[in-house]
Amino acid sequence: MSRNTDKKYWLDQPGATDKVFRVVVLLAILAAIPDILALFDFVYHKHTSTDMEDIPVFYGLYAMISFLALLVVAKTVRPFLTRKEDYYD
Amino acid sequence: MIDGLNPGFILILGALLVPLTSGFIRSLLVLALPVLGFAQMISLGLGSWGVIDMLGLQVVLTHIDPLSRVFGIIFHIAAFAALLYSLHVKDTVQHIATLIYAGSAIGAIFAGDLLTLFVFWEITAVSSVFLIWASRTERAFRSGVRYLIIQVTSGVILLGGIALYVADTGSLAFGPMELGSFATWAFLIAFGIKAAFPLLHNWVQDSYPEATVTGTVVLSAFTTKLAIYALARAFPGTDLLIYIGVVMVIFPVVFATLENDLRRTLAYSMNSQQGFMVIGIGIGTEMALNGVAAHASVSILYTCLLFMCTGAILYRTGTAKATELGSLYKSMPLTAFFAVIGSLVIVAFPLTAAFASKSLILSASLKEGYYFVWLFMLFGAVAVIDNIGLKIPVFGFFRRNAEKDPAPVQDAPAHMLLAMALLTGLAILAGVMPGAFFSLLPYDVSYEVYTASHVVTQLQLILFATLAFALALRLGVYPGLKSAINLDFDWFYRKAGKSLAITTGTLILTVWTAFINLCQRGVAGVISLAVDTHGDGKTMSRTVSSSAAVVAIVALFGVILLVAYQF
Amino acid sequence: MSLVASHAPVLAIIIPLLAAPVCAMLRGTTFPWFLTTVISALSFAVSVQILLTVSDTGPISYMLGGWAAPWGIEYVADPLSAFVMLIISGISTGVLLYARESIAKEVPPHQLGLFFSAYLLALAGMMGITVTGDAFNIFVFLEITSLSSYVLIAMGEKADRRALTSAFQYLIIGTIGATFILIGVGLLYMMTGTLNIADIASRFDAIADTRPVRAAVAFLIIGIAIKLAMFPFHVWLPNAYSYAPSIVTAFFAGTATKVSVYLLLRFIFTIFGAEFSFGVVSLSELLMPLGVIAFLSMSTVAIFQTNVKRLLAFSSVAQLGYMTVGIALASEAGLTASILHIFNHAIVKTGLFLSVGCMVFVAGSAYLKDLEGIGSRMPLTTFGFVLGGLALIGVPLTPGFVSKWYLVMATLERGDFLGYALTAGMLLSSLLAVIYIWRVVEVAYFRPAPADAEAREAPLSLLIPTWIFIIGSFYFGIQTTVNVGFAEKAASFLMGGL
Repeated sequence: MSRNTDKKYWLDQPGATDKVFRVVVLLAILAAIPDILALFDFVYHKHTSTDMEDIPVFYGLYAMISFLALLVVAKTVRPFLTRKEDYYD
Repeated sequence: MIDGLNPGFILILGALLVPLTSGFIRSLLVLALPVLGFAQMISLGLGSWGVIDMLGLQVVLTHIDPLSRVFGIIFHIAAFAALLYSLHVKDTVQHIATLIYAGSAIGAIFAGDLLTLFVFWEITAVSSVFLIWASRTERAFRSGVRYLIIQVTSGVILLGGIALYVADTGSLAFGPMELGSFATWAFLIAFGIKAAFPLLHNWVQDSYPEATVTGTVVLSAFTTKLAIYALARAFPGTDLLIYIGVVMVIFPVVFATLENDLRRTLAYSMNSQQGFMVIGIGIGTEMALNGVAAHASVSILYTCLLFMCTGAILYRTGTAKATELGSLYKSMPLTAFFAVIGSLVIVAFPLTAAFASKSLILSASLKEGYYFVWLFMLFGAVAVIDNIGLKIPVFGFFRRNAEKDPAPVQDAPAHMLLAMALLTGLAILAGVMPGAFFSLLPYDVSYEVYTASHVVTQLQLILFATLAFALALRLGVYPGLKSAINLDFDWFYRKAGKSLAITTGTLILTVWTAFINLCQRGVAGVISLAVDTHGDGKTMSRTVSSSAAVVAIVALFGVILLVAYQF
Repeated sequence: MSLVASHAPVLAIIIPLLAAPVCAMLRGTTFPWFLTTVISALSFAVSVQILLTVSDTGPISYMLGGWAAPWGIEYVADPLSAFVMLIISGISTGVLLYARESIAKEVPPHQLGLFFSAYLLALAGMMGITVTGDAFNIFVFLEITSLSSYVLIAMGEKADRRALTSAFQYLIIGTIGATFILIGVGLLYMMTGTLNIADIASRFDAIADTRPVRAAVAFLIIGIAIKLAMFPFHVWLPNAYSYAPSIVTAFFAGTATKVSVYLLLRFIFTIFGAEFSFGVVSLSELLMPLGVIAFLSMSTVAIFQTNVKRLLAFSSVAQLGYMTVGIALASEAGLTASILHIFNHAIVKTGLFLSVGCMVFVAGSAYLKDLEGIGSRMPLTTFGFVLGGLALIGVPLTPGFVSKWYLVMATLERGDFLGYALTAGMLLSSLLAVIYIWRVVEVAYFRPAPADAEAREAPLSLLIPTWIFIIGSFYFGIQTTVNVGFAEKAASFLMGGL
């Protein structure tokens, strides 16, 4: 393994994180496309067990909402839960 | 192989040879033992051995059926991988503890009756605590003591349950039971402690991060999964477990989000994943139980793998706190690679094992009409994507430290990387060939893993969760990680319990002192009375003159005469 | 041997009785002692023979002079009397092994012949009380025993003049006791016209409701209680034990009061019958409180004693309280405990008095202030005392534990409040025993020896017999089949042979 500290890392370049973010957005849109197309019964047929799943991009939206909920709850309870590291000592 | 020998004994007895060896021979021995155990298990096939009649009760030392075999296979694999990962450890105690712990967990899996189960159950508790104490810090010692108390309590409750169960049914048989009697409730609580049910869970997050680098890997594999096995055997289809499981999925994720220590984050997430299995047991259909067995196996693979990666970080940098790490992918590229794969497995990315196993439980819940349960599980799945799938690679390896990246270190040692590679390979293999994987499961259920809609929906879930994570980081709303303690239920026994104990103690002491003072005064009174009457030369010990004695004699004679005449 | 076997009951008495005058004529320090020891050992051998025969074939009856029972005098060896005879002759022989050097220091040489002659008479008397089946004969042997014991106690006057007053007080009170017994026997004779015990017993039910018989019961119980040193009739005992020569104390501690316990058992169970004694005249209610006060109060008194012999004497009164309670329980378990304690206490207390005797032999005093640091001066003796003390307290593996265990079982068997209260009382009394033994231990081990005190062990002729008793007591505390077996047999005989 090279221990060369001069080695340039792609992630260290300015704007790299922006690029990563853009890729993530792109991928998410790609994943949503089949659902959009399914609205027009195109290409792909959805197997659904619940009515909820008929909502377009249900899984994607549910993921976003879930994460939002998680963040809200976590940030709400944090002041009540967090103590200094030597709390129990 | 020896006919009917419980494979667990091979590891337990083999552990006794460890102190006699050193160096290369020791490495060979510790790696050979799980392999031998595995071979023994395979050569036995299915059936019961070592049936002993004890006081009219039937003890079955070895019992292998499809359900226990799945757990047996994954336990042997985990034991081998964990031992491979810990080859660099020179501490003999840790090797012995690992072997006895893994051996007794395997022994418990193949126990054919409750009594044998209890014996192995307690050995796992006692042997595993040495892996925590092996850290040799004050914190680890105290955490280990708490761990041991809780684990042994579980064993004691199990024993009490067994006694009641024998009284009720006259049998030691370990099979499906109805929740209702005291005995079965005791079993549920005993298993629930080890399975880390909500409010009974704190020992996991308390002790796992305190164990040694290798100890945590070993600990994460066995205890909780052994409990899942016991629950799956005793309580399939018990509705209560569904609700317990839901709480279990939801409750730990908040803590996982806030936690800074990556190993503790993993411990919380593992706890949440246990919830999926508990729900599966509660649903109790063949498909759900297959899902439980599959997900337990896969969960061992990725939990061990991720604990190995975070362990390697700790081993090289001396810390596993997100805030003190940064850009480790540069100096530990291979470890980073395995961490990424591990993350993909835990988020149930298509072509990984968890994609196959998790969908079994999810589909089973939908099939039985538990829609809300299903929604909660999806929530848990999203949470694990963010808490582990993204947090560990991003905070552990790729993100630059806000202040200064730590000094470059070496990548993990070769044997650690080999262990990681082994688990990674298996996780991918099971994901690529779900058919072969499913053929090991206890029930014969046809289930198509790779449908277009399943792949697409799962990708949606993962990618939108990633998007949300990226957005949160970008907008700065992601809760900043801090080196701190997040109060959990253990506050009740570590703080409230302690101060309650101190208050009660003080109160008791006060009352006791007052009582003692009172008693002392009383005793002093009695003593001075005794001295006044019985002391040297006092009434009772004085030499009475003969005439006085005669008077007493005659008086008593009179009394007796009266008594005798009265009738 | 068949001649010996068939005459065994009478031989056990005749041998010491006839040897006594011979002994009185012997001079010197060795001969009288040697003769007495041999005679006592013979008597012991005969007792063993009798006990074995009785436990094999049942009670032995012996007609003195060939005269048939109601008219002639009958000697009866049953499981109880054979067991007590064994204890008496065994203790006597063990103490005599110890006697030679010890008594030579305490009694003038020219009186030794007379001393041992009195000793033999006391032995013969006690054996006689035990084996005779004749009520008047009991009185005769009682007087033989009493008179010789007054002499033996008075022999302590060389060391302490107070021996004379103690002997005199014992004489007054003992004579009253003997007289009471004589009156009681006389009243029984008046009502039944017979003196044979079995005969009286068989006619007793018919006359049980008469006033003379009730009076006889009162006279006999009080008379025996005096001889037994039952609280509060014990006043003679502490002084007598304190000032008598060491071997006399050891001998009497193991035997004299035990013979009186035997008499109490004999009259209560064989002559009156348990039903009459406990059902009609409620002796239980009378004896129980006396026994309880004895073991609580006398143990407390023992704590405050300054003379070790006197301390042990009060302890003896307390231990007799246990036996009294065992009898008053009126159950077979209680009776077993009581008879077992006769044996166990005899061997333990004799061992303790012998070890104190060793201390007196060397240190010249039994007062605690003179025994400071005796633990380092006489390590073997003191250790023997400590072991004996443990046995007295009732530490497990000692005979004291065994008999207390049986007694506690017997009290718990009642299952009522009184049973639990008695158990608690006995535990308290054991605690008091810990304290009074500890006082000696504290003085012996934790006080420095006086500077001028020489470190010298007692001679082996004293040490070995002492340790025989100490080791023997532990033997019977661990291997309990012998003592418990005979006690159970005697108890079931008494309860069954009503």
